[in-house]
Amino acid sequence: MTGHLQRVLLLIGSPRGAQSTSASLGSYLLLELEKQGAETGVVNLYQYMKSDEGRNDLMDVVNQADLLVFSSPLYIDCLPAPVIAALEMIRDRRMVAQPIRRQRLMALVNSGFPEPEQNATALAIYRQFAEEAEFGWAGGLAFAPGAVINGKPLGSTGFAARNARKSLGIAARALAQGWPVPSDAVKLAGKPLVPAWMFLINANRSWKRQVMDPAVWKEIEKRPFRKNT
Amino acid sequence: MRAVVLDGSRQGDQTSRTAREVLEEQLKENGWTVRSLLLRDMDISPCDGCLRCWTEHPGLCPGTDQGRMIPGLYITSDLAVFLSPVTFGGYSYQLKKALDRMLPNLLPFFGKFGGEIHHKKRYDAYPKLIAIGVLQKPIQSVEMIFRVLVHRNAINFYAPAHTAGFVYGTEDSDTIRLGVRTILSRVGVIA
Repeated sequence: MTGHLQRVLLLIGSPRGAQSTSASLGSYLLLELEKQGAETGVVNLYQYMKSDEGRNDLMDVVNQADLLVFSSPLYIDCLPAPVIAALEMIRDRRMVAQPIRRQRLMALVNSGFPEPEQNATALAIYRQFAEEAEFGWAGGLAFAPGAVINGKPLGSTGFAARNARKSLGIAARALAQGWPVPSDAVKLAGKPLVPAWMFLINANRSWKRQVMDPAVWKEIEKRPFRKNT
Repeated sequence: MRAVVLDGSRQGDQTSRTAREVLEEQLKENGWTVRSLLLRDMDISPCDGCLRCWTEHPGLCPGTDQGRMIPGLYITSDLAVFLSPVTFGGYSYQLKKALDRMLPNLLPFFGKFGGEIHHKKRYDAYPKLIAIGVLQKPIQSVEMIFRVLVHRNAINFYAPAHTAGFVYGTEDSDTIRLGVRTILSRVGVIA
């Protein structure tokens, strides 16, 4: 332990909570940070943002952390709405009660798209939040595609999550030293596991398994608000 | 011609209110039928990521709140306008809670478009997209993030034309009127 990290808080920003890919990625990073001596905690933003009591509790744990790790899926090219609500609240409250010490923030974003560039706007928003809420920006990692992990613990996803594990390990060692996320970790996180053509075949086939009802499968391309044909 | 305005402003935001009024007025003057949704007053829960709009009720959100109607209002319009305070370069919670409910308008299947992988379209045609960001004053860095976000939304929502523009809290109503007119004319929705 180098003294740069005492308390790390993972803020999961997925409606699937502990069962989400966001949780899988964030929890693995926490395990790696614990190896570096950090004390860790986890909150589910969707739950905390549902009540005044939860929002107050969220501010308490945020204020106690040395490093915040936001982990969320990509929704419509940016962050899910409840994550934005949390960022708005944290920024607004910190403008009233100035932070008394320097805290850092990093972000993990995962999506169903294999190109890491599709997550760039979400990371830019987290970075802008860090600036406005007076957190030191420690960097971000964009993972693609999250469907390979599908909420399973990263340690048990074998070969498919090897790049994610390596990336998070590199990031944890740097963060523990007080450094930002290194570019090696960024490249590994965004490295495609399979070529685009193979991704398309696998991803499109997977829907046949997810749609259980043959009657629904027949209508999968239905247009309930048809106006153009 | 039908336009839907999704207003993601906060309570008491006079600049957004002026922008919306000017927007509605100019669209109506140019023959548009306008439906404005003041999202903060609507019962719209966040998307819970169940994907049942793909796996159980294709094209329809199974939610029972007012968010269920957002995809239909959007897709049956010829123009969609997002109005939002620029929030860390992106949209406010109020606007985003509605946009997150639009997944049913796409198919679950992926295709390659412009060199990138995206969800395939469910409908033949989608509305033009205009996003108006509200800021207290010009800030180049956040405006850049906002423009990129709107561009990416336009790709994923198959908008045939799109643009992003800004109005500022320091502007009077005449300047806001001129700014909104300029934004609307960029995508040819007013003369």
